[in-house]
Amino acid sequence: MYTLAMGILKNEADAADAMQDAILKAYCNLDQLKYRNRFRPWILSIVHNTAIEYIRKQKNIVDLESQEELAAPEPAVDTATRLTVWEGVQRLKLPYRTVIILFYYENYSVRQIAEVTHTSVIAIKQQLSRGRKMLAQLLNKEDFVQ
Amino acid sequence: MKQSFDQEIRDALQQEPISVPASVHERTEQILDALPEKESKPKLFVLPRAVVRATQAAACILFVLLVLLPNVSVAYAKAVENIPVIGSLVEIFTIRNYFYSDDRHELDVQVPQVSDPGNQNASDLINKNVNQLTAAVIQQFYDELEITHDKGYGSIYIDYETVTNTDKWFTLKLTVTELAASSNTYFRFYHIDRTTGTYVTFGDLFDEADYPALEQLIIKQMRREMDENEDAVYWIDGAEAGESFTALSGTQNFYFDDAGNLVIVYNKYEVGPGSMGCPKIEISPQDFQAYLDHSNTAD
Repeated sequence: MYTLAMGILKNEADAADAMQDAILKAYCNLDQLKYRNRFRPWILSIVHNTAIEYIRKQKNIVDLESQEELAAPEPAVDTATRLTVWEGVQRLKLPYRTVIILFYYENYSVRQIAEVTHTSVIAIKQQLSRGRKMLAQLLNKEDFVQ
Repeated sequence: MKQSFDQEIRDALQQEPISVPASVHERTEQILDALPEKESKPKLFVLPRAVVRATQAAACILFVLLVLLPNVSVAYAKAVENIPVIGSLVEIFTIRNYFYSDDRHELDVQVPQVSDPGNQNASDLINKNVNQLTAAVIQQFYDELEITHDKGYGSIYIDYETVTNTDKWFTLKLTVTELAASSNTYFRFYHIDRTTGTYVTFGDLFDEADYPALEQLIIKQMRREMDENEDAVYWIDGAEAGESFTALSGTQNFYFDDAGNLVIVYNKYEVGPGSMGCPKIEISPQDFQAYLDHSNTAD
């Protein structure tokens, strides 16, 4: 939940707010969860929706984002640490950021990501492919794309 | 129920792929502590599942809106002061958000969901149509993004608003704005006749045989507007010549305004130059009533 919220909002305070709201929404709509073993994708879907709502409401986040990207230096060449990869992921645009996080960090399948983000499997495959290429360019590591 | 919910949240937080700050753990615990217990009472009689769900959801939403959120969020407490009392009969809320942004493209889509338990079929039909339209627009955006990539520019926005929400009638308006070399906006209106519980289109209200007469009312109104405003331009000469831009169809966009006028809404460029935007032509109740009655009588 936090990884996804943080990945989308790129700000600890906003991610915490979005998580808080998502937990409240989830609890209020708990009856809509048909199978308990589907809890994780279900709540991630709510976190995703809430975080996107935050971006829309606080348009300045997007402006800040573009300013950061203009001003920020290129990501570190050292890709050995997970932290650096995470920095690279955070530089991706939405929805590629979301898809990469769910695929590589949450270990979700393409079908599960489609479920969480309410998108088609084909669209997720496209976004994943493009996101990987973008990330590889950012990390300057050709063999990242497999 | 609450205990298992709390545990699921805590487990999810423990298994986060990245490190979670202590402050986030603390805030999560605060929220979990503040959530009300969902009690299950002995069933004296069995209510329909939908009614039970709606009641539970409403109670929970009220608790969150009126008790919990104002106490845990200062920003929310301030914001809620400006929210009017909810008296709407049909509930409408954003069920999905789609967002994309880069230096050349932007996608911002809000997908609404209509909930009208008393008119389930009609609200389901609206939701289905809205989903189909928004999915097609989003797919088109990503398809074009793949093609244009770093060369072209393009943005798409979809927003919605409730035009009418009474015990008799409901109208939802969807606005699609496309920005590329130039801008284009188009609308979709979705209606429920809540007295009959039916999803209504223009074709359901008016007999096709009466379309020519209604078109003449529209043209008359356009002429009047052009007489009064020299900047107003409608392509009605073509219409009179039989190449009608104003030709009505069963899916014509329309709504009823507060005064009861029938408002025919055209998309940009449909009946006039871009400077006219999306024209709205009002027809007074006295003018359209006869056709409406005739259509109803015929049914």
